[in-house]
Amino acid sequence: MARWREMLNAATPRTQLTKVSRNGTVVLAARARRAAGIEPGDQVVTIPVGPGAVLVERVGSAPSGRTWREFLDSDENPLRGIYGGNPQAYVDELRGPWPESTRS
Amino acid sequence: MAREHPLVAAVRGAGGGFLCDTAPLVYRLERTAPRPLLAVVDALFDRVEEGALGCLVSAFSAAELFVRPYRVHPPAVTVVDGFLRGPNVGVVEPSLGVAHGAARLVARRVVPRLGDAIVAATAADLGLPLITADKRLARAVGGLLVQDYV
Repeated sequence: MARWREMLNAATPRTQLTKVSRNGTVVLAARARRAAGIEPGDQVVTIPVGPGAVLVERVGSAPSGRTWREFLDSDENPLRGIYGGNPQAYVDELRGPWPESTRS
Repeated sequence: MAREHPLVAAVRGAGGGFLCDTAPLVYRLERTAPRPLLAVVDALFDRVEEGALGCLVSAFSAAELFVRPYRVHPPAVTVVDGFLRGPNVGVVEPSLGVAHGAARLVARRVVPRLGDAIVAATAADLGLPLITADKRLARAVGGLLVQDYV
């Protein structure tokens, strides 16, 4: 394995490597299934979200026994603190300064 | 039975649907806001997840939500994507009607920033209340300010 790939994998923890079969079947790693609340028998859809990336999403309501809030509050939430802790400052950074000469 | 949160009651009184600006969505996803503010946002989005309310998000806000994850931690993009495809959440694509509405807000100097105007015009186009964390925008267009419900 190329050194840069080892470094990339170390920097971005990924779950167990799996292989796409001839008919397109893949095994979802147990850790990923648990984190997503996907259980045997659940129906899922696959949505391409970018080059080399497919989102596997459980169909229907929130995963049994786990809500979005529980997931977001868990250590598995990769968005925790990612926006810098001041959402309005983040929005202002993207939208630019609010000029003083407005009617509001 | 627990008393309904005032912001939830306000949205329910307006028909049960709302358009959410970017910052309140960040509060929900990032989890680092002060507890009272987080409680307001959670009260709202817990009802969304239960199906009691519906949350619409402008594609402009969706793009803003994606910027930081793409910049610093691309695997987190899928969490934002999953959230936006979640139960009772929908992303509203831009339309010519929204473009006209946003342009009018900026031209008349009601809202100076085009991004704010697109979000506000999307809410107006759908006839939904706008929920925002920006006091200036809430004052300008009559949106519901999450801080007012702490």
